[in-house]
Amino acid sequence: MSHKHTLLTVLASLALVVLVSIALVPGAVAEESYSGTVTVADGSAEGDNITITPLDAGYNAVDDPTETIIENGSFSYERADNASVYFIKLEHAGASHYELVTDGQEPTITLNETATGTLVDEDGDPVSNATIDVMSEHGPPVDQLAVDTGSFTLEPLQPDQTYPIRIEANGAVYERMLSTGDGSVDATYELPEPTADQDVLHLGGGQPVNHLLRVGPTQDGSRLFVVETVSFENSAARPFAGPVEFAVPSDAEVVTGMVQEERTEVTVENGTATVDASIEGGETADVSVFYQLEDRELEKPVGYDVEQFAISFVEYDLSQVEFSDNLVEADAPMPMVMNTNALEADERIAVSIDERGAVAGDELDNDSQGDDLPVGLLSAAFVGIVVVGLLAYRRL
Amino acid sequence: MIGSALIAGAMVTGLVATVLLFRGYLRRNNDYVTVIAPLIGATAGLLTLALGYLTYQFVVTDYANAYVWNNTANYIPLLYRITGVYAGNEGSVLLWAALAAVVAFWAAVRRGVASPDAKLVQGLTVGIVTYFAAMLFFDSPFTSITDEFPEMGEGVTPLDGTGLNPLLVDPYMAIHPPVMFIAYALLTMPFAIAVAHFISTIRGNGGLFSDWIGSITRWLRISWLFLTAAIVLGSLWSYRVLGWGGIWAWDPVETAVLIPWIFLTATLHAVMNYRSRSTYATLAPAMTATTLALVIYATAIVRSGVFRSVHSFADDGIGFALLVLLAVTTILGVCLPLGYWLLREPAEPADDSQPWLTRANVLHLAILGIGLLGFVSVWGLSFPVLNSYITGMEVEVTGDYYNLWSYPIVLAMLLLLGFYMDYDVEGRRRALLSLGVFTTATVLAALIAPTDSWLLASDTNDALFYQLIGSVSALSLLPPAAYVCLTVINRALEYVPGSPSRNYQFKQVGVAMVHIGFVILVVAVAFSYLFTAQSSVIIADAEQEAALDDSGVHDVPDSAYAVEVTDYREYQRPEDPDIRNVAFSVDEVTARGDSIHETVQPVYGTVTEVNQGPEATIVQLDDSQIWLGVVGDGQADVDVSEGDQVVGVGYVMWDYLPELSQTDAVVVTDPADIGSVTNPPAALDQTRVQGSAVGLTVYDGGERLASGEAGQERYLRQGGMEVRNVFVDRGLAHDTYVIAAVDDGTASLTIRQIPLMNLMRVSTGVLLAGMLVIILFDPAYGLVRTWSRRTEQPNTTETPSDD
Repeated sequence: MSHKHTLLTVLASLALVVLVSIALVPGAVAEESYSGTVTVADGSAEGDNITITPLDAGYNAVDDPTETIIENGSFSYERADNASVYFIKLEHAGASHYELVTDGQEPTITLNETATGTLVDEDGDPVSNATIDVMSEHGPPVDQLAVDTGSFTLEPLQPDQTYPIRIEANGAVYERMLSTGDGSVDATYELPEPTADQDVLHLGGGQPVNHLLRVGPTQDGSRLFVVETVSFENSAARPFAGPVEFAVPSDAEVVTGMVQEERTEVTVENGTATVDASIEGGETADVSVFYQLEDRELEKPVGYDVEQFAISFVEYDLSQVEFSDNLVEADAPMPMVMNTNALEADERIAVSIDERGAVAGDELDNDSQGDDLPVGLLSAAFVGIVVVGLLAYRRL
Repeated sequence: MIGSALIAGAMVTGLVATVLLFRGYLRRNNDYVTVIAPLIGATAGLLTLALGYLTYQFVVTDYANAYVWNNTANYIPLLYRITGVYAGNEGSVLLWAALAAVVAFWAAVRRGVASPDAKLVQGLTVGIVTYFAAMLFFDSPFTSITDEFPEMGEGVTPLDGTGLNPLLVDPYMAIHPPVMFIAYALLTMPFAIAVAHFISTIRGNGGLFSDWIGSITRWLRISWLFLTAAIVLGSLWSYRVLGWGGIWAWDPVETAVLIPWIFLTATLHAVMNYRSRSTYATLAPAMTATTLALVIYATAIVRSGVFRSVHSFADDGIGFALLVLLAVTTILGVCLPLGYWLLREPAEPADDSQPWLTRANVLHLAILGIGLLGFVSVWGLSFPVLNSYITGMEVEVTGDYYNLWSYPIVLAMLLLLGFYMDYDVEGRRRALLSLGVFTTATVLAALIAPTDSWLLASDTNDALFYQLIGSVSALSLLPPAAYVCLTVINRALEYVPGSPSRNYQFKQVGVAMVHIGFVILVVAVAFSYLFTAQSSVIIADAEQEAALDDSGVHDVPDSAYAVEVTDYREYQRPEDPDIRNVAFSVDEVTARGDSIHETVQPVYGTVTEVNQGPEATIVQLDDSQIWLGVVGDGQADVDVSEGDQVVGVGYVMWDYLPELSQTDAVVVTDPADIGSVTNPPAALDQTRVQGSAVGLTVYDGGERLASGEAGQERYLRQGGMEVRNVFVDRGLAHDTYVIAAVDDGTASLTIRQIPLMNLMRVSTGVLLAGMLVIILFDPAYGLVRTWSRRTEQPNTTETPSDD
């Protein structure tokens, strides 16, 4: 996974933590108050909304967010107990801006930067009909804009910031960065035409393997639920946007598809589930299809020629699992089976789950549902034989 | 140092004694004979002292000894510190060697070493002890931690050990190994006597088996008692600890120890009937000699790691020395008698006058049968190894193999035993008649199976043999078992009343007890195995239910059981760890001085001053010159104030801040590696065991049966190994055995109903008590001097003069 991706993931999870925390934590009494200032070049922030969320050192909210408005270029908020930082959101002109300040500091938000940008294809021609999502470096979205003719202007922005931007154009998604400095910025983003040629995709980059089936019980426990994930590397310099196919079992009821962490449509025909995926040039993406089966048996063709293939089990123990000969138990921290030799696309794999909840004891017959032993009768018979025998020896 | 010196001393005295013994035997003189017994005594004393010293090191947790460090830890209670002594190979061999040396010394004192025979016997015994001492000298349980881990640095002693194999933390396991090794040590004497018998015979000096028959019988019987007790203890352990709910699983090591037991049993029967010039003149001594070789074979399997087994506790290199010992004992104990039998034994005079049906022949058959039974086990154990060497394929021999092959042999043996007992008192005609009746009953019973549970194996689709035996009803065990009880009791009633010798009466009662105990045990094991029922239930919110007073009772599907969760707890051990186990005080840091400069060390103390700067927070400990320096991201958020008890781990840097006169050393750490003493950073977390358990009340058929706790414990330092704590309720007819997998508030319960466990317990008790009675009161070789009917005061411990 690229560095940029990692950064995005970190930012996204940070944002999630903030949002979840905001939602969860109850209020407390505050004492002191702080005041912050907002400066907007060529305009005024008068009356704009400000939302302040106090956070602890681990970025968990310690109090409910408070809302206020800007009067005379400044706003004030009360100090919250246990807060180490405050997350401040400013809504101005339809966009949101964010600032993180440590406890004790008084925030200053400046919006004075203008960014202009151009979207072009490989030939330098403008790309039209694009949508741009601008994110803050803290995670939450800043602004969204539609680009009709290939160029756009974003203002006002904060200085010295890096905004991750996500451009949807040509039916593909491009992830880029927009950095503001200390003056106006003009950026040109080259968006190569996507390809629908599946030859640019190669299996690779997956963790722990490039082709993974996660098998677990459905909610009611009577059937299997499968998440089949294939990791693709787009070896081309351009994005891939097109169908990705999965060979699913004939009894599969396909629920959804997923590209990276986003749900997508999926169509099913003749044992093939097709997911429309968009994968950036040079990037790796996980494409998944979720399906449930009619019983506790999974049998299907592999679907791809694959070196590393694995099936992991959720809530099942390997002692409950039977699997086809082309698979072996894997030395993994979770119950997992994997291939021994490279598998071909049309090779079939199968697993079945023994429903009896094997908790422990591999040694004894697990299913020995013995009848009650007639202990009394047996003892009586035993003692009877001995006594009668002894009497017989004495008498005969 | 002391320990190694003790072992070296034992090796030297043992070696000198051995050399003097063989010298005296070969030259047929009595030079130095007066020093030999003291030398053997010294060997025994030194080994015993070494064992005591090692135990002492375990008790005081002297981690300067690598073996101690490897096999115990501070949190382990005293009893299991002691059992740590034989948790590894070196300690086990030391225990064995010390016991064998004491046995040798005992024999030397009782019988002296003046006669050539005694010299030869003692030479062999002390030779084996010396070999053990040499093994220990080269692979010592007293290796210091610095020799074992030179990278730790000179003179450094760890503050805590690595812990004990969790499977060994069990009261039965605390006594199983010593009992086993007592049996092994005792078998050394009969082995030496039997081998000496063949050497002496071959050298033309005449055998010594006849003269020593009393000793041999006593040693063998006492060994049998201890070996049986050890197997019983091991079974009880596996019943509880392994969570199988089974006492026997045909694990390779269980099988390996059963082989010497079977063989020892056969040997006892052969030795009973040894007559120097006729029956068993060669076979009895040969079997006696072979037993120790089989014991070494079993041990080599346990300790060499040939098999992956629950017993693979210690498999680190001592295996080779054991293989050498196996080779030596096999040559002396097996090849020597075999060679003698093939080449030298005079042909027995044919005696046509005797009828074919004699007691002797029946006994021949019995010994053959026991031998066959042993072979089933030997083959089951060896076949996978041979097969993997020859074909490269790993095969597994399942319990079915052992059960199904052994079953018909056991049936035949029981019929034969009954016949033998009958023939003794009732005579040929009546005995044959009874045999006919009971054999017919056995065959008929084999065909009566009320349900599939009665079949020995319900789902074999293997070879014809397995199908055939598998479809036999377990009811077929009843007639032969009853037959044996009947005839044994009948025989006892014939022999015991009216006999003038009280000793003889006791012995006959003992014989009856052993045989009845054994038969009942066989019946109980077979039916218990076949009629164990299992069912399971998952209680999803066990934790919530435990908190409620009246949470409801869960029926266990397919059984008469119901369970109620009364308690739920998650715990860890040690409960209240001492920070001193893992961290230095400032005084200790000062004392170690420059030797720990720039090394990562843990340190604890009370905060006496805090200086928070933009780059670092530095914290003075105990008003001393030692400071903790916290640097890196988040250092400003480190929350310490004066009076806090803190612990941190980091690089000890002497003269780190020369500009500050009140610092000598700073332990440079980062925010993640500092914490309070009660909540130390992860690197210093002392948790060894994480356990979770549910308290349960079990109902059977609506009636409250028992309450108890079941769960599992996870041993973090042993690779996360899990041990189940089962809950067993001993009922009259059956045990109720509950296994709980407790995880995250959910309890998955498996409930087994295991019948006849109490019958098993009683029958093993009768078996052991019977043997004890025989050992004590046998008129010929018993430990209690002949006790006529009129004598009221028994002379309990004195041995007869022929010893």
